[in-house]
Amino acid sequence: MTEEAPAPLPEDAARPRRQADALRLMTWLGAGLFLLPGLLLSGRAEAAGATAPWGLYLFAAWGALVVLAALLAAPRRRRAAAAGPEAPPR
Amino acid sequence: MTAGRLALACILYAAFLFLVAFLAERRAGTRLLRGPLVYTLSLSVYCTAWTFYGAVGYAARSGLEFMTIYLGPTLVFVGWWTLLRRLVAVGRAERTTSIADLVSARYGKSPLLAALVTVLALVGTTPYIALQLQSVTLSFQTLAPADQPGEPGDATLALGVAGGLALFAILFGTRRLDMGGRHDGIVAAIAVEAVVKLVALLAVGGFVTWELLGGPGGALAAVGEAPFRDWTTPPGRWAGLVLVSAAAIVCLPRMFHVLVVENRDAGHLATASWAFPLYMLAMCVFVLPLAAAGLARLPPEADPDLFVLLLPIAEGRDGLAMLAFLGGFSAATSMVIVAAVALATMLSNHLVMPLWLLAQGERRRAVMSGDVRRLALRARRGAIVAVLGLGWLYFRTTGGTEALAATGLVAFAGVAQILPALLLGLYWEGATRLGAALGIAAGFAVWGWTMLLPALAGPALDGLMAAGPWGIAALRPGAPLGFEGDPFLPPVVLSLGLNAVLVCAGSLLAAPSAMERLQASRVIHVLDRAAPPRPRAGSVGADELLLMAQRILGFREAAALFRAQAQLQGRVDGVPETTPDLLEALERRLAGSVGAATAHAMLAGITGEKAVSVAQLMAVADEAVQIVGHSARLEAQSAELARTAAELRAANAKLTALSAQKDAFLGQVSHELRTPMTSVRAFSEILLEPDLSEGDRRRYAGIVLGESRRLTRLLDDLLDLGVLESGRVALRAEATTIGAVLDRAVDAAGSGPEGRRLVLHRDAAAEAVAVVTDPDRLAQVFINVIGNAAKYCDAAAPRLAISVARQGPDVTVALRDNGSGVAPELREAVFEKFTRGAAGADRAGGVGLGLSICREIMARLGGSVRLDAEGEGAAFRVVLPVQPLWAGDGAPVATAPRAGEKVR
Repeated sequence: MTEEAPAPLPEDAARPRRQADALRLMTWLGAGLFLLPGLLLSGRAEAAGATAPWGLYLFAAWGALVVLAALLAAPRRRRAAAAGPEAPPR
Repeated sequence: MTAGRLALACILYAAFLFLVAFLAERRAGTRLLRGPLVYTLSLSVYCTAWTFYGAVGYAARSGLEFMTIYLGPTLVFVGWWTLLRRLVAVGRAERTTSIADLVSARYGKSPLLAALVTVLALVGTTPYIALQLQSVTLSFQTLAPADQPGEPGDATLALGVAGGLALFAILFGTRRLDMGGRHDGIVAAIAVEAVVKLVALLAVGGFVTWELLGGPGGALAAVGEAPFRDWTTPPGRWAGLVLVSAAAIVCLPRMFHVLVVENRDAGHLATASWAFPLYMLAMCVFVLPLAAAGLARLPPEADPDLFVLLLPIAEGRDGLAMLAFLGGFSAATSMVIVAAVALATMLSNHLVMPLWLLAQGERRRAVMSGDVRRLALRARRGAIVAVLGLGWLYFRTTGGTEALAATGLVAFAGVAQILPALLLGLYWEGATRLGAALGIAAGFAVWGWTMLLPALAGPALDGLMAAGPWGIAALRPGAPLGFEGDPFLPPVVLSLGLNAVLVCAGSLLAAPSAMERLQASRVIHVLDRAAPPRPRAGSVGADELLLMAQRILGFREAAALFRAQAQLQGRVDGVPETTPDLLEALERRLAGSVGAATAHAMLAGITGEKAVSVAQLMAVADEAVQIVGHSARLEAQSAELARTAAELRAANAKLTALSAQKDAFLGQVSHELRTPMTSVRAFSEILLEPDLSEGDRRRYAGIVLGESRRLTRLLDDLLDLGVLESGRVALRAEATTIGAVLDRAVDAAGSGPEGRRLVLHRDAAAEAVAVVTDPDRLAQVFINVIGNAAKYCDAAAPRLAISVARQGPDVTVALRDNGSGVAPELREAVFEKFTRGAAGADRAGGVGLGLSICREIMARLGGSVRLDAEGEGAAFRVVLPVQPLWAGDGAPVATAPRAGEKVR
């Protein structure tokens, strides 16, 4: 039995928009990840012995955000370039 | 290690940095120096000695809380990157030299606001500089204990360090006046220092983790057993710390300097968005194991702020200790250098220069007297010495603070007071100078009282601290509004909250000046590439402007600027005309040297342009309105096109349907015409045959005649229907009664053989309803219905009951026979063209257009005809208005409206 080659995917026209959405969501993702321990631990019983596991969590979240930001660096560079290197002298 | 050797190492390292800076200045413009890597590394001035030594101390005291200082900036770089991009864009467009300059430029180039931010930055940064001096001194003494008499004391050592740093900052920070030229030497040196401090911290951290704790697993276990293993941060404090450190990354004068002023390419920010958080992550990764190891292995009296240094010393690793010392030295010196340059720029541009301008008084004298450039540079150099002197003095008077972290947080909260005015200024066009000034001043005051004062508090202030001023407990510096315990969160919430409220309230209360409105618009639309140009006025000669420009930019640069402008204007003599463009370019260039507010004041002084007039502002606004209007017109046109397209599509669909109807109709008509035509032809051929009996001939001729009559009738009906449907029918209004019309119809319909068979039941009294209508057309309807009853009624004794009833403005005529009625499947279609009852099809000899014509006629007359579904037999109900809707009082009307049309 021969498998048919999959049809080539149509060019992703919505990619810039999805990237813009991703950039916007990073704000909230970062805030959510970083503010979580303060919300969950302060003044609760879970605070006991939390330094080691939550330290690991924070470093993992931090690393994940760095990776995501690195993935989004290319569209960001394009946006920065689109805004122009220097304001037009008028 | 002896103090002498350590001092020598320091001097050698400093010499190395001088060399790096010197080479970078010589080779400015190489790709590495202009690249994103050096830019990202220069951002690491954020990580000062407070990070290098203080983070471990902070972790040893409060566990994970130290991370907030780096999580906030990570959030800004990763998530709120657009804010940074906007800051850099505004910084470039306005050629800002400092954060005070940017705030002032946004709020109408206000000198007062610039001075206020400068003072705030100076007050907030001085303890921070003192902290760096303290850390260098402490680490020096830790590595080389002063056991021999005659060695330099704390203050002397700190003075030496401050002196060296001042020299470095002056040498590489004040070579040129124009901040647009950037400081390649300083940036290169701090990039090198960034690498040194990272490598040093990673080396010590790696040594402690693998050598002392037995690898990552052991380190995790050590952290799990450390005294700081529990989460002790009170609710809200975590978020507050993240917020304040996020604010600090944009508001700290040194951070603004490396982030915005030293930025060459907005694209570098994209790299920094992940690389700088990664750098901070690397700086933090070993902090917890270092703290755990220090607490477990070092004597209890050891200062946690020096664990980074004490751990290698305790383990006898002198080389590693030396590296750690150099790392801490790098962290401290890079911060001090950048902070000193940034603060000195602010001091000279926003305090010294405006005061000097004020003292100059008249504008003519300002133009003619000495070289401003030398004055400005001298002011900047003096300011560097003053800033470092202040830091040293602070260190000397307070004798150093207990914990590095507390001082750092106080400084962060101080500069964060710029944030509300800055953020609102960048995104809200309505934010005004009054609001910004009120907010910053109030935030500054509250912060000074509730955070700075307790940090400075000595024995002299004990009474005030305990009881509050005038015995008002709510105003106690350490416990604002009675919030005791946490020295950080309540003051921060109070100061920043009041600050933000006042910025908003002040902005809403006062109308902004024209200049403010203009600058607000320029800043907010900076990314749209459509920042409105500033209207300029004033008459001044180009030579006068050149003279002033030379005094600030230097002879050569000023001449080059004017030549370029002349070329732009297409002038061959090299002397530009004084156009608004020239003034704008000149002001931007001057702003790069002396700050926006001062440059604006200088130009305004010389051109006599005191303020932007309302008329000029209106011109700018008009342009903006025109653009908005144009875009609105385009949008409207596009919507109109979409609407038209939809209408066209609907019309097309209707036409297609009509075309199909027409085809079907033509097909039916052809069929209906062909049937009688075939009979006529066939029987005519038979008639031509010779041997035909007379009886047959008569019979066949009768058939031919009947069929041709049917054809004529069909054609008449079709024509009639065509006239009715097209609305071209002429109606004749006439006063008559229903009874009279019925009489005519019965006479006409009852003449045939079936008509004579049909028995009619009528009520003459009820039929005497007077109507004004077209009696001929109405009779035609009745003839059709009565004829149908005669044809189709299948009862043995066919009967037709006609009843007439008046209902309001209408009269209803019901005609019901006693047959089996209309078959259910035909009820819907009975009024359609060419529909005939199957049973009577042959017998009736009709063409199936009668009821279609009836429906059309009744629609013209303003009434209706329909088939009653209920009851026995076929029942038609004809409804007619007593007074015609289609005409005035009996007046003849040419055409009547179609059914459904409104009649006026």
